[in-house]
Order: sequence, then structure tokens, then C-alpha cells
Amino acid sequence: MYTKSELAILALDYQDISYKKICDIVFNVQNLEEIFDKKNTQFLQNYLSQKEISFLTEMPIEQIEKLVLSDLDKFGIVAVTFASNDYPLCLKNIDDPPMVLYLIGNVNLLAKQKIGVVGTRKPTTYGKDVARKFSAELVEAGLVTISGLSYGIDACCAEATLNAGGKHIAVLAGGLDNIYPCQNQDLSKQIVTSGGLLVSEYRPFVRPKQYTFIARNRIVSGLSDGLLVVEAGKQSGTKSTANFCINQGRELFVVPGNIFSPQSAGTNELINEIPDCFTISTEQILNRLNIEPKQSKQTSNAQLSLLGQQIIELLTCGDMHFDQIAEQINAPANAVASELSMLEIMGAIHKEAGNYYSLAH
Amino acid sequence: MLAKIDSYGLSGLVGYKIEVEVDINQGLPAYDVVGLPDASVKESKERVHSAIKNSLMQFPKHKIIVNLAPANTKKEGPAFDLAIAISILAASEQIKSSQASKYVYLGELGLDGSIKPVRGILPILISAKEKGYTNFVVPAANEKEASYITGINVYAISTLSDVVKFINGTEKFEPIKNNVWSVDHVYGYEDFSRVKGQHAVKRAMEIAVSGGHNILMAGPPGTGKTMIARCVPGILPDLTFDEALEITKIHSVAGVLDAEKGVVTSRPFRSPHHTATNVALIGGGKDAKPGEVSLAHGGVLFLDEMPEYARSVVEALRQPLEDGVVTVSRAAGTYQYPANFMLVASMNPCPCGNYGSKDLTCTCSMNQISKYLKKISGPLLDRIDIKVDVDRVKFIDLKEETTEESSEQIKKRVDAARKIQQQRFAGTPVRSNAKMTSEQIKKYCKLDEQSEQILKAAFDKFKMSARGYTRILKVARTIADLEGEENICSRHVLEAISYRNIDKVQI
Repeated sequence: MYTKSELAILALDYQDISYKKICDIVFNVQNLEEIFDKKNTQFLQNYLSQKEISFLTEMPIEQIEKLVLSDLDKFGIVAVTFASNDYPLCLKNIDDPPMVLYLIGNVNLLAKQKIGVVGTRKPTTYGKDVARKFSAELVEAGLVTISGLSYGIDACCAEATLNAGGKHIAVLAGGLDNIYPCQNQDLSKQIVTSGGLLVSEYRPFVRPKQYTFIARNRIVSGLSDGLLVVEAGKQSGTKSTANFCINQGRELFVVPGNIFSPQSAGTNELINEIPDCFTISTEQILNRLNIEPKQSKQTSNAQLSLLGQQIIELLTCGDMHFDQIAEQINAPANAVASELSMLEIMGAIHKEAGNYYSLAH
Repeated sequence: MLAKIDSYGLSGLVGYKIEVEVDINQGLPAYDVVGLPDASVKESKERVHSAIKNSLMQFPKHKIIVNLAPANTKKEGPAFDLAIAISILAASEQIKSSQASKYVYLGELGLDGSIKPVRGILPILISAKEKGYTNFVVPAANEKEASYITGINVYAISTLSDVVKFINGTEKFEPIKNNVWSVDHVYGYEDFSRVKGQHAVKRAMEIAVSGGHNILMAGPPGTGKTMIARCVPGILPDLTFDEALEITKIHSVAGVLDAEKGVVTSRPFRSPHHTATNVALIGGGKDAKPGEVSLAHGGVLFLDEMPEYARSVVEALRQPLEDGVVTVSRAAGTYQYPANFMLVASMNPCPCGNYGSKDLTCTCSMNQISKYLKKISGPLLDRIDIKVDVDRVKFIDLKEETTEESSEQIKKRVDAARKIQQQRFAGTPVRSNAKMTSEQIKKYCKLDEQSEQILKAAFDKFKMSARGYTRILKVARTIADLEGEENICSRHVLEAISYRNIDKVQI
């Protein structure tokens, strides 16, 4: 199943050898199969400890293979290494390309056109609306969305993608055996069953740490053809992803926000600093990436009652509190509550924390 | 000589007769109490001794044995002091034994011979009356409480010497007059007219009270959750006399009854602090006293900032919420106290209170928020039928001189809805829509086709549980009752859906 060269990298990773050392070996060794050969021991001493060398050279290769692949088989993980034929081209040329990608799900997605959607872990209603709108429209245009499965914008994007019948790639900061955050475990399963993909640079049982999150972001950006930043605070992880995007030469798309909102301080700053990233519609993204936009669907408002139509109209200007809606329409609380329920069930509006309501896009 | 005098003890809320026997024999002065007396009963020796002496009577200088029968139950509390004193006086022939034994005596004695009030007079009198006892001597301070039982003769006397005069016939005492009970129309601690805006919450509260549904208010601090909770007693249906007696029994036993009033005249509103222990909330402890849940029986239990309560305490609420009673176990046995209350709970969206707010930033980490929300367990959430979000009222709304509906107006509608439920459930132990059995739900919550479809769509969209489904039916039934409609239609179902509780706590 795996070539000897691929196995070599997997065996190095299996022993928790640092990324830098693996890189050194991969870039300095012509034929990776040779690290299993005893006669190369002296050469290998430049990079590895005696114990590590023994692991590679003393055991028969079938045994090494069995050990290294046992965890992967247990979780249904497929590994793509830097030495593999199907290692994504887009990652080959970035700074610090990942040596291994552990995958669960539809591996073919790596070859498709993808848009990264990232943002703050504590978005405002506006941020969530933006993430949902763009994700749904990008899916409609035939793109795959990719994100980090964190709380907030990442999860919003994944959910919206699934709801629109699209495919999502989630890049995780730890091993694929135990999804972090655990709240999003169900979501991760849905992503796989709907034809999506889970990706990680880390083998099973490796727990996420602070640096693995930043490292993961370079892969989100690296795999994407373009990166959409929805909401970001002033000094945030999201901004670091945007920086990777620029360094990797990908297209950056940033959505502006409320100048009073701390969650838009970062995005507004990016728009100011980086030329041509200002984005307010999916059309702009498709244009920059030279993708044909599909025909937009007609949404019929015919089924709505009079009260429902009034509410929809009110909400087009932004979200509103229950009491404000009741006041503006001048209707009693129970009538408003019933109508809002109906609109929510129909999927026309969203209910947010604090009894606020917003239009669904 | 041997004397036998009657007194009464309490086991939970039920009284049982205690026979105080005193035997005086030749021998060196001694005083022994048998019959499993607890510490305070054992101490009665000193109180009785001084009380008799200071009432200018003789304390026999012989061997005195006091037996509190039946011998196998523990006797607790100082309420038998008076009976013991009378029995000693009867045994030493200082009063006419045949006359003394006509009454049941209750009271603690002071060293000066005064008779001090005791707890639980009402439940004792009720139990004793059931068993056929009709003549009682009780402390004067308990007169009010005792005055609400008809058909018995109660003499409320303040000193031991007066009791002696009463028994010996040297002074005449009249039995206390019965008081007519009336409801107190004090509209709770706050009036709804003082709450500006918050129409959604007020409406939700009106529905909750009408159908007896437990309700959870979620929102940042300072949004008026506590104030609204304090308005609730003002719109609860009026107490009936039977309910008042039930509640008074509990309050009397717990020692929180207002002696001036002697009886409960409006529904209780209890709001225990979140440092309350299990025992304080549920009941128990050394004296097996009723806890907050029982003190809230027939009224409202308000848990402000529910996630702040200890997990074990919140879990302990399951039984009372499910069964309407609490079982308090002790080594000697178990007592059951009623605990049928309406639960009003409030919570912040996160530890700092600002999550989801428009203007303020939340400073909590996701982990903190998750931990905080997890404290409200699934099974407890399950028993809360209505959840409503509360947010800050804009300053403009606060200043505006709009007239808001008063509690009195809201109460009229609540009463009407409650009346419908009274008729509907007549003859069954169920009193409100919230407590409907599945049989009753099937019978009274039939839906038309449109409502069925809507409910099914909501069930799928919001990923409800079966329990969530029945909760919506119950709340819809109450909403229809408030409109005076016999049949539930789609607008009732839709409104009920808007108050749906979260099945699983999510961010």
C-alpha cells in the first residue's frame, strides 16, 4: 500500500522525531528507502539518535510497517507523505510544507478548487451571517470550503456548507483520533459522511498545543486557492492565517465590519494594509479566481403571511431584538412570537442569543 | 402515685400521641426520663423543676420516673415540658388528676413558669383532631396559629400557674375564638407595571404561571431577571384555604411561620442563595426539617443564576420536580414532605455575562463557557418547559413614560386560565397543565393537521427530543387556555415553539 519511501517518513513521524529533523532528512537524502539499510547507520548519525536509528535498521521492514500502520488502520486514516505521488502540489512550494498529511474521508477533494473560510472563535451575529452566506454561495458555485473546525466562524462555515449540500475540508490541530474541540465532534463525523475530508499534520494520539494551531493555519491557507477572512480581532490567530496566505501567494479576501466592533478590528486593519482584498460579495471572489458564477436561485416570498413579510422587511436592515420587532410592527407579543417561530422553521430567519433575530441568507 | 397525661409529637407533618406517665415512689430524690428522650427532653428536668417551684408549687422530693410512651420512638424537642409538669403535679396530687387528663398539653416551659411557643402546632392539632381529641392546652403565643382549626376547644395559656388554676377550676378560661381565613391580596414584592419593556419575557411568565410551567430566563446580568421573578407571586392564583393549611403546616414545622399571623395567607416565594447546601435546599439534617423546596410548596422557588449552585444541589432537585415530594431519610425512618412548586430559574449566558451581547465583549474562554453551561444538567433542563432570552432594555425605553400592564390585569387572565384547568382536571390529582400525564396529553392536546405539520417540521429542524415534543404540547395547551380556546391551533403551537428549551446545552 505504501512505498518504502512513504513508509520511511511515516516511520520517522511515528517516533516523534521533530519536524525540522524530518525535513532535513527528506531534503538531504536522495533515496529515502535507504534509511532502513544498516550500512547507512553512520550517515544517519548526523540526524538521529542511536535508538531512533536502531528502530529503523534493526527490525525487518514488515514489522516496522505493522507498527507504524496499526494506529492508522484502526482509525481509518490514510496517510499522504511529502514523498507520495498524490501529495498536493499546492503545498509543495510553501514555506515549511507538512511532511505528512493524515486523512479521513474523501481524499480526492485535495485536488479540487478550494476556498478557506476563517475567522474569530467568538463571532457576532453579523460575522455568522457573513460566514453562512459566503459558504452557501461558494458551495453553489462548485467550490469546496476549507477551515479549521474551531468554534465560531470555522464551525459556521462547516455547518453552512453541509446544509447547502456541499463538501468541506477540516484541518485539525491534533491527531484525528480525538477531535478538538470535542463540541464539534458530531460536526466532524457529518463532514466525513457527506463526502468531506478531515486533515491533520499530526498522527493519532498527538494532542493539540498552542503552536500546533498556528502550524495548522498554514495548511488551511496552503491548501486553498483563496482565503476568506470573515471577522478577526486585532491580534488574533486569524490574522496569522491571513499572513500565511499572503506569504504563500494566495488570493486574500477580507470582509469589512462595524468600526465599533472589536471582532472587526482585525479585518478592517487588513483591508487597510493589504491592497485589493476588500470583499463584500461572492462574485468578487469568483471573478478573482476566474470561476464562472452559476445562476442565482429565486426565493419565493409567496408563502409568507402579511406579518411574516413585514418582519422580513424589517430584518433586511440588520438584526433586531424581539421587543423592537413587536414595537415596529405594533403587534402583540404572542402574535410576533408565533410568526417568528414560523419564519425560523421555514429557514427564513435565525434566532440569536438574547432574543435577537436575523435574516438567513 | 401514677399519673397519665396526654401530649402530642410530630413525625414529619403528621402528629402522633404521646402519653406522659409519671410515677412517684419512695426513695432518695431522683428524676429520670425514659422513652428515648433526646437532649432537650432530658434537659426538661431543670426547666420543669424551676417552673414548678416558681409557680409556687411543690416539686416532689422523691423518686420521680417520667415515661414518654410509646417507648420505641425518639422524643424530640421541648414541647413536652408542660405535659411533664402537669403530670408531675397530678402524680403528686397538687392538681385533680381526673380533670387534668381531659386535655392534651403542648408547650415549652421557661424557668419562671411561663409557657413558650412551640413549632408545628397546626399539623399537630389537625392530626389530633382526626384522632378524635378535642381539648387542648397550648402556649398563648401560638393562639393565632391554632385559631384556624374549627371543631375543637383550644385554651391558649401563658403561665404554668394559670394552667393549674384552669384545671383546679379556681379561674375560668374561655377557649379561643376561631378566626376566619382570608387571602392576602398583596401583589407580591414587585408589580409588573414597574418593569419597562421586556414584553417577550412578561408574556412567557404569564404563560408559565397560568399552566404551572417551570421557566428559565437566560440573559446578561442587570436585565431584570430577578425583578421579574419577584413579580411572579403577584400573578399566582389565589390560595385556597386547604392549600393555605398545607403550606402553614410546613412553615410551622420549619419554624418560619409568622406568629402574628399564625397562618399563611399568600403563596410563598423562596429564593435560596447559591451557597445553600443540599440539606438547606432539600431538607433533612438533625431535626429532619423541611428544606427550601418544601417551604416553596404551593408557591415559587427562584434559583437565581442556576449554574452557580453546586452540582449536587441541582441534581437533588430532580425528585421534587418529578414527584412533587421530597423524601428525607434519617436513621429512625423516612419522612415525606410535600414539595410542589413552580421553578423560576435564571442564568447568565457565560461566567462574565456578556456572551452574545451587542455592546459588551465577552472575556471568557470557550472552555470556561462550556464548563459553566454544563453545570445545568440535562435532566434538570428537561423539567423546564419554557426558556426565554432576556436582554438589556435600551435607555430610551427605560425613560419613556409608557404605561405597562399591572400585575392585577395579568392576574385576571391567569385566573381565567387556571379555572379552565381546574374544571378540566377535576377529580384527578393533577392541578395544572404542566403536570399532565401522557394519557391526559393525548386527550387534551390534540392537534389539527396544520399544527401537526408545523410541529413535525420544528421537531426536525431543531433536533428536538421526545420530551421536548411533549413540553411544547403542554405549553401550547396553556396558550390556548389563555385565549379561551378549546382546540389548539397552529398559532398556539408556533408560540410554544418559540419558548422551546434547549435540549442540550450548546454555545
